Amino acid sequence: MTEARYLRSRWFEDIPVGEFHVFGSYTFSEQEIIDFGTRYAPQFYHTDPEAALESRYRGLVASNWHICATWMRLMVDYMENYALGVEDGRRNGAGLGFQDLQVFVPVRPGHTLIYSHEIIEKKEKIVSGKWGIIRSRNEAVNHRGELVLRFHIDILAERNPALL
Amino acid sequence: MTPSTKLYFEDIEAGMTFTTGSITIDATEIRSFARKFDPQPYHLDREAADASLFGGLCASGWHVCALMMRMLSDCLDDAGFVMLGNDNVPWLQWRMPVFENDVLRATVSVADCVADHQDGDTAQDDQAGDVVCDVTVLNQADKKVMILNTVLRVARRTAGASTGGQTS
Repeated sequence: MTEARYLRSRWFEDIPVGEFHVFGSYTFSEQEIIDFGTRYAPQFYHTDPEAALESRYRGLVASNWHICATWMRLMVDYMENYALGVEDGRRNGAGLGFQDLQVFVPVRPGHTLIYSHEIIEKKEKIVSGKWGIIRSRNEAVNHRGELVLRFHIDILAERNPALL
Repeated sequence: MTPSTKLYFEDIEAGMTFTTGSITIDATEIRSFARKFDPQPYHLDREAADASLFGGLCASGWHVCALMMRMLSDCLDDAGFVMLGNDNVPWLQWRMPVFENDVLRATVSVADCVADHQDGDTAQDDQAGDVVCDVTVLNQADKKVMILNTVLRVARRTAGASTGGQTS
């Protein structure tokens, strides 16, 4: 895992704009979609497969927040090996917010999403004396290659103290 | 609860405001969500969290999103909204950490109602409109922990679908 250790030690300054990774995939089960919906997004098209047939989705679909939470899980697993600008992959910075989140195609039971992200911008602003801001474009495509999800997120990355 | 009156797209206008009920978030739930979706030390381990930039065990930002959705869903359902979907969030900011035992609630303000949504499906465009909402999630100290702008798809009265579904 030499390569992973090297990548884990990257600072904000070492992360190139344009870097692109396909960082994970996940298959959504009917039960998980219902469980998440029941707890957090109790619209019937997230909780009741029969009733959902009458919705505009024509069937049970995952909540957009479920699709995003799964993005986070895959991103955390990925950062274990390819940390975004931190000394230690388990001490990365917080997310500040996101823009332009859209779900274009429903995610139904059994659908597999493939998640990717690309670094699109590094802001020069220094936060709390030690963090930089990295903006990435995140997308998920389904098993048919259709674009399902897109958003841009700003995440803190530790700056190299030697360069501050 | 089934509201006596439904609120369709035609009934909703900019300036309407709603306040959700509250949710208290405890350490067990913070860890449980984090184990499944965001297993980072400051969402799992109190000691590591104390040493982190957050300064204490705190909920995943996506957990706060999920709780916001729950509060928003219950509130708008009580108000009679016939919500068909929520596939577009123009922006969201996490402003402050949400710590264990924080009590969250949200205010919802209708910013705009857009009838001519173009999603390439004319049949559905005729039956729904977009309600653009500014949502503010507050903690027990009335501090803003998360703010967002989100687009709710709401049925038109003319569609006549009381379940919020298509009838055709």
